[in-house]
Amino acid sequence: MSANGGPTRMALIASQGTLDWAYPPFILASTGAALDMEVAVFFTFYGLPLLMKDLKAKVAPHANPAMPMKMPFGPEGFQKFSWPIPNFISGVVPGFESFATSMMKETFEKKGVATIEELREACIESDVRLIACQMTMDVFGFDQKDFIAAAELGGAATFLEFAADADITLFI
Amino acid sequence: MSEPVDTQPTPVETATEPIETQDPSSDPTPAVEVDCRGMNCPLPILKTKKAIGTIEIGQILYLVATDPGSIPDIAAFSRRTGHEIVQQREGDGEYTFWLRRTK
Repeated sequence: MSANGGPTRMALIASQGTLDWAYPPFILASTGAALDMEVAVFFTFYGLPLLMKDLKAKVAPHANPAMPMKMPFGPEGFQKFSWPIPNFISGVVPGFESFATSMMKETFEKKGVATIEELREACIESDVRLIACQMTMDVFGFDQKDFIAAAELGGAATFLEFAADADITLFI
Repeated sequence: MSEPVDTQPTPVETATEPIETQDPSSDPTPAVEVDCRGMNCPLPILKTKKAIGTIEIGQILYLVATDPGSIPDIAAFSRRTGHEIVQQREGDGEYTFWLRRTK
């Protein structure tokens, strides 16, 4: 039960659009709904493209020194090895981002982690409110027809009205 | 110096303690089975939630998972949703749960 007498309420802000950062809001939102919580996610700035029909989220290993670079194939010891790839390589080698993205997707699949598409679908099925930031859409020149039907257009006030009675509020 | 603070967490009361039994002959008969072997967080929770909605109140859901995190997570799911863990078992890298739909 929430402080307002209704179900426990969780309000999330998804502000990042890379593949790795796309996971936390969708995992928390879908799991929250599974735990009978009322959930809304506000997708703003770089998080907004996560509501597009065609999900293009990639990982950006450049300038992300905490990201382990691991191979999704080979013997166990090889898979556990973290490749020391310096920034001057990850930043200038053409296609490095696509390479790292496909490596991460393959590793996640092998480890039985859901795809972003699956988690997003679980959110839609369980009535998570997916609020698309209208201002971001205008500023970055996105077209509403490229977004999923479940995306609800709104601004800061739409989110805050929901968040005002939230028990959990996270900015991701 | 301030007074020492008791940092012991307050024990959370569960409705009933799940029974750990190794005797398969006494297993409750499930109305639905969920196979989450090889799946990682949060898939076992999402699949369990979806499947428990397909059975009647009072019926049993059987879940088998390989994710060790499913032990604390299914317990949390049970506490939050009220669906009761009537039995659970662990062995050969598999974690099995029998959950009763309560509402």
